Amino acid sequence: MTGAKMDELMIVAISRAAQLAYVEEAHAAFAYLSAADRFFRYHASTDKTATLGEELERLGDFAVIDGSFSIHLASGPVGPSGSGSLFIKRLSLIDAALRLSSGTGEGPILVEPNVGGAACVLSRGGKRLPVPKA
Amino acid sequence: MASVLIVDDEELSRIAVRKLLSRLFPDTLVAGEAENGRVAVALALSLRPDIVLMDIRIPAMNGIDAAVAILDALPSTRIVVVSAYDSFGFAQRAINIGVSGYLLKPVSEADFAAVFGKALAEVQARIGVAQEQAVAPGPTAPAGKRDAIERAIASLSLRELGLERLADVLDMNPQHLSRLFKELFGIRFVEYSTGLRIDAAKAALTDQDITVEELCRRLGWTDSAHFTKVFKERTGLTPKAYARQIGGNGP
Repeated sequence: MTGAKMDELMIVAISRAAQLAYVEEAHAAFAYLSAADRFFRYHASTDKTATLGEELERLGDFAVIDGSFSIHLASGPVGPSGSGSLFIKRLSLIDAALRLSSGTGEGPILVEPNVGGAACVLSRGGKRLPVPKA
Repeated sequence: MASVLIVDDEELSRIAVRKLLSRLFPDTLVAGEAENGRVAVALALSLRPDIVLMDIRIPAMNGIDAAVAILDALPSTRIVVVSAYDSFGFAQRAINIGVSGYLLKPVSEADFAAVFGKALAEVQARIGVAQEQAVAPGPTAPAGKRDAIERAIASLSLRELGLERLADVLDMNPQHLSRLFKELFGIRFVEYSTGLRIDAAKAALTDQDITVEELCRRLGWTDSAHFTKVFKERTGLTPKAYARQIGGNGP
């Protein structure tokens, strides 16, 4: 089975599992599976870029799926009218968060949008990782 | 009460949509369900639903083509796409044919409330205009009255369609509506509504594994023996024989 077919199967399976959770009124399971559905769709996309706002939403979904770290957004609007409309390389924010989530202290990962020349900067336990604009 | 047709080849998805409707829009009525595009078009033409919740990847005819056929025949019907596929191509085609909204499975209650609620508001506004036209004081052109009655009929499911219910929607006296109907349509209301129900029954029998009892329940026909008799009078065949003749899996 090709990677694309496997991605499609995974998305369909998660989507159906989420619908089943809804039908059975398992609300926490529905929320979890919906986050997984959104994240896997995003991950499977062939687009090279994303907006910062979009990537932050998916980072939130990833944090729900992973369960080992949380996110704290520093300040500022991250909607379409704010710094959320900045373009970044798809998954670059999530990759940066993954690097910080393993062995760099406790507490949430701080996300500061539009700092200096970067689309945003992630920090945790004294370590800072800038995510460049696309 | 707005009527809804659910089109999806997966039973789980149809159950989930029914649950969303019952939780968020309990005043809507599920007039029918279809598992493929061809049946969806046939059912839409006979049931004349206000809103169609349409999956895209379905057998026989895809959801986009089915939506085009439905909108061609019933331009006031609202179509909301409910799909597991978020491809830009699908979404673009859906927008271009004039669907009212696009929902991605699994559908959250918040998204369903926003998108379906918008389509429902449009339907309710249309029904309100139909009622105003029907009861407008002073001389009203017969064509306008006939159109208002047809639109009011379209706003009802076959299960609830009856003279008193129609009069209620139009805010008219049932006896007055009965006389006006005969004058405008040339036949009695009961003959007209029976014709709609028989057409819907024929459409359902073409492709659905459905019993006569279930068919009667969907059509609002309380006596299945009477239904079989009327069906035979109109088509020359019993429902079972009709289903056999057209090659379906009917009762």
